[in-house]
Amino acid sequence: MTRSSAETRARRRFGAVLALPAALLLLMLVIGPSLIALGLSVTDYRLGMDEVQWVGAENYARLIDDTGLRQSIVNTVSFVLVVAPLSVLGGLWVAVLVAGAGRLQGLFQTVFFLPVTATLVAMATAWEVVLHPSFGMLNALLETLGLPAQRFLSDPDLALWTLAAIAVWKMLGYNVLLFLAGMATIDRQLYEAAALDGAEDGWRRFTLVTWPMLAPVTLFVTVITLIRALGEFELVAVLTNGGPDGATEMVIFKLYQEAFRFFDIGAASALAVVFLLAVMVLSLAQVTLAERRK
Amino acid sequence: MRTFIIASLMATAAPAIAQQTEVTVLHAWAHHAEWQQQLADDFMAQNPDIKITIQAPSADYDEGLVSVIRQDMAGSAPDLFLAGSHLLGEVAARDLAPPMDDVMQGRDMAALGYTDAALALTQIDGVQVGLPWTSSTPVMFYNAELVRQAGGDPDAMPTTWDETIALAKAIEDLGDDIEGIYYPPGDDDWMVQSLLASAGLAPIKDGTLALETELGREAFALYERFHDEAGQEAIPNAAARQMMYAGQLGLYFNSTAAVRSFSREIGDRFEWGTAPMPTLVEGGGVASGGMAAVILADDPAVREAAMEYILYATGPEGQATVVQNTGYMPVNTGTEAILADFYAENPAWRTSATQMDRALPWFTWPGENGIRISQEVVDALGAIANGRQSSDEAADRLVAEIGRLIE
Repeated sequence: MTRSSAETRARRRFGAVLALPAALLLLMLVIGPSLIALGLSVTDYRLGMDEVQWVGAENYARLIDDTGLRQSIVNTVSFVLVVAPLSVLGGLWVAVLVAGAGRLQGLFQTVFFLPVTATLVAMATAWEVVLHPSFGMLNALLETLGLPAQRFLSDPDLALWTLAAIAVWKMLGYNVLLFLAGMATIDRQLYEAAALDGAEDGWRRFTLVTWPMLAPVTLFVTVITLIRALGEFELVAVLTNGGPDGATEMVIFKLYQEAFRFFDIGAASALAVVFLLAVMVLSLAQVTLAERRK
Repeated sequence: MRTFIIASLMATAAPAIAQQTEVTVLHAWAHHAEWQQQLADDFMAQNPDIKITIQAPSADYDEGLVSVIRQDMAGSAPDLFLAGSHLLGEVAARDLAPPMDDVMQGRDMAALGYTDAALALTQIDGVQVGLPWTSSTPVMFYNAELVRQAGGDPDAMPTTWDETIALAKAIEDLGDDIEGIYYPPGDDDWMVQSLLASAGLAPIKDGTLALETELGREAFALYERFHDEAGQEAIPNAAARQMMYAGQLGLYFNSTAAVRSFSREIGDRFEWGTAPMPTLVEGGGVASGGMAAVILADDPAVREAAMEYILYATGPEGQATVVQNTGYMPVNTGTEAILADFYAENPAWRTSATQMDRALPWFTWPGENGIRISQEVVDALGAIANGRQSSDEAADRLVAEIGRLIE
């Protein structure tokens, strides 16, 4: 009894020692800065200035009162609501098609994965050529079809959706790959069993076998996509800078602007805290749902 | 060449090398790296006891300031910072730079070619925070062939906004592929300062916002008129620049610092030129801007070495290098003489200098929210361009926002 509990204690101590380096790094690089952000979010700290004053919840109130900050939150939510379903369901759809593509599977996999590997900053130049308001390829196409030309990146009614379309293009390939990996682990025998039970056509095999077996992957893909869409920064920074008239401002870009252009660390920290909370809720939801399935 | 000089110095004057003073420099804009390095190389060739080390350039003026603030907090700020002049208030508010009194003492700045007006551009509350490094005003770029086709005369471009808008309309009507005018909203409020200046106004005078006055509103409304009367499209600046280079845009407005780019991108494909900024009222002015050299170092020896470098780069020889590589105007009165031939051959470079006598200083908003106000102004222009707000509605919104932000 005593001996075994001593052994257990020794094992626990050893385990703690092994976990310590990673825990320390997490503390220094994630938890510490998060707490600092939390602390700064209730002050009026400005980058490089000496005086700091406690302002309570003022910065959080501004997230609702301030038109610019509020718009960035509304834009982000709309963006996520469009991008996440399209790139998750689209990814699943493409994955199923690619899996059935036979010998061309490798080719399709590469084609859809290319946007993920390409540096967006470089691809942005290509998108500017495609979307140019007067001699862009897309407008040339629209004109051939007899449709009016569009100002994809500078029309405030259109700019956010243009970015959303590019985001889907960027995220789709990643999701396709995850779904394909998930499908590769599905036991072939399940399909045979389903066929014996009369599920002959593709749709019924999909609803009976593929879709239920992919549930854990789908959950993971959904959460990852939500978090990635929520944290979108590159697209805004490279293609629109938040314009026109704030139409494409999103939370992380706004956070950057507030902190490093306007030096308003308080407001930026409040945004950061809200963003962290959103990501935390999503991650917790994923863990809980995944646990429940087990 | 540089290696050769250093090598030969090492061979002949080893003790001098041991006492070399190093000055680190941060400037903005990657496309300026080449001529900034050339200035440093030319200077070092003449001053072997000073080593100029240029850091990787910041993407723009705002990021340069952020970088300096952060480096300062870590105790590793560059010795010499080339700031956008409009950000000098932020530099002063954070005590990043000691006043330049010590290094200016015993130097007759007027005799060195720095006018009082030039020095005043880089003072905050009467304190010399920096020295002007480059200087520019906006100019009107035009496609001479389109101007002629529309019945205009490239040698006598319009001098008032009314005539300019009429000409732009005539160019716009030349064809579907042709645009008449593009007045960029800019990255900050400089282009609006320029509209106000054309009515002789600064954004704030005696505590009154120009946008609260009738004349100020009329100047601000020019931006709406470009769209309504001359068919300006609400497209990004970069897209308009591409159209200009492609020969599909008649009139375009921007800093004279872009002249070199125009010359490189258009080449001999079509005839183009620059003309002075049109005015709204008789005797109207232009906005001005540019970079200021700020010495951040505390060490007297480094400060002195940095000052030597500033005096070279902003002196006649250094400014001649800057002007020919960019389109900026010289900040030093001694440069004109050196560049006489260059200006005679390249009149597009000269336009900005001809309007310098009516230039207003780069306006800085009081208080800590200057950059935010600039962004509000850019956003308001976006709302006008896209027809979401009329010029008057946008001006109302700005008056309210600015009032809140500078209190």
